[in-house]
Amino acid sequence: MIAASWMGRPVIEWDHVTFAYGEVVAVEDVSLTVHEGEIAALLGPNGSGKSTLVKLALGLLQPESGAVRIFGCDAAEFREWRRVGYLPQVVAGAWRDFPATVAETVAHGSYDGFSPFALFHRSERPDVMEALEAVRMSNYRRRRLSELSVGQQQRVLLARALVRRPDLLVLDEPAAGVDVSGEEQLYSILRDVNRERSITVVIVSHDIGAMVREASTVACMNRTLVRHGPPHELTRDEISTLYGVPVDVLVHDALHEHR
Amino acid sequence: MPAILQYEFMLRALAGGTLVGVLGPLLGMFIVLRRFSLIADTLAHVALMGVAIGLATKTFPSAAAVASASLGAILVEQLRSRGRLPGDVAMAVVLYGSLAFAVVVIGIARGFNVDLFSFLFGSILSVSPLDLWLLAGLTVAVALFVAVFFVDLAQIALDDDLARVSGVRTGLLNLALAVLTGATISLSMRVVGVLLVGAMLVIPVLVGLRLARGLRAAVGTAIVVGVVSVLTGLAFAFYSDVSAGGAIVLTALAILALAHAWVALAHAWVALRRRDGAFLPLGGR
Repeated sequence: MIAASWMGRPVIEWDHVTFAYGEVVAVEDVSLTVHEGEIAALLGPNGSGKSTLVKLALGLLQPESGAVRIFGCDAAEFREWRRVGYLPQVVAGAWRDFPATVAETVAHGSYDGFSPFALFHRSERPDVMEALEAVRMSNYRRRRLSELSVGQQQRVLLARALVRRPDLLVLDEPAAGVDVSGEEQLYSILRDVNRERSITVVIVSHDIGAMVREASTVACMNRTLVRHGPPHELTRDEISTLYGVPVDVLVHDALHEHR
Repeated sequence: MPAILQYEFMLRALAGGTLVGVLGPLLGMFIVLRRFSLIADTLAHVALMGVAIGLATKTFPSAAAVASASLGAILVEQLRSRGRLPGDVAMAVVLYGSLAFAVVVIGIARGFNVDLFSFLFGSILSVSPLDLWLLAGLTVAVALFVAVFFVDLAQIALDDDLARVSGVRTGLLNLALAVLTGATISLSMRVVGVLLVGAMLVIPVLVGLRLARGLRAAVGTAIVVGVVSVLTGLAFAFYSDVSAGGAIVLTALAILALAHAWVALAHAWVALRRRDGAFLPLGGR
């Protein structure tokens, strides 16, 4: 199942990776590969090391042992950040006073590295507007970031990532604090960019239902990699083991209903 | 010619004050947005330690202040970015450490004198031509720094991790920001005083955050508020013989209160119009 020849080239490879925050081991001996074109879900309960795994891939953390490669390059050496769009977890209230407008925030995303004259550039450029269009936020372009709901801020960050024309999108708990319709809207945008722009998507989530629905591969994490494969092969017992509580299949069906 | 413009010391104070009014908000915006407002007060106390050492050893106090504030800035930034201590705790440790050191040095040097007093509370009489030149040079340097790295600083303010993944060299920029802040505080305290200099980096920025739409507009608003506060405060100090630093900060606070009242009034007006079912030309909210 893993050695399928139809799979694209590897985009992120974790190779026997271990990482600890001080004494607390967050990730232990994880080997996992995300291939081109996948919508890969990293699924697991809170504190299972899935966000850590992503931060290792983005070079924000250095592994204690093992190797992490992104686009074939060691994560610590990687410099082609234009190819990567990242959405950190949006914390409610974090940008309570943030004065930048939506268009400004997205426009800033399109620069990488040193751009000395960017201060004098217009924010509402065609590429910025196109990205805002893709996340259905162009009507909000002159709003301050602080005036938006968490779900709307999330979509602005998505536009900010898309304006870079990335090959890889990494999202950390994108649906946290977002209501059901906002969540559905977000996933439909992600499906579109995955298909139409062939962007590889990595989603960190604890939402089993959404991940089984949306992802092409699911990696279940609980400090170690519990299992990895297509979502329909996930069994109820495996999910129950992962979360440490009995999970009923009915939960899946109920989640399917609102589509 | 009004009396305030007839004295050379007052002209120096007005020129120096204007530069402080520009410098403070320019750096303050990116400090406040990173929720790091107390760094200003911390570095002011580190600068005080430098002044104490400078006065005790009879060397140039301003230079000692700039040097120690820069080192203090690097220390706080290192403690914070390496995850040794949370940002607020790192600042508390450095603040009290340097304040304690300053108190000991002052004690050894046999107590307070007029010079030290002028550093603590600011003194419009004490702005020397050299101070003015240093402030002017620093203003040019800071303006260039903020203009050139504007987008990078905006990204860091939005989210540090996000900035790093966008290719921003966050470590270097944060360090540069901290060192420039240290220098700004050391040179500004001749006008406003150690105890109040931090306010110049924070309060005008809060007005900008309240009123402006867009980051550039917020920085511009904050600078206008900074300069207006300094000039109004200095005029008050000159004509009514009150402390310049106190008058400047109280003016800035009054503008902040007005800004809040203005926004509250505007919201109330919109709500009233909406209740009446009136047409909202701006699309409403």
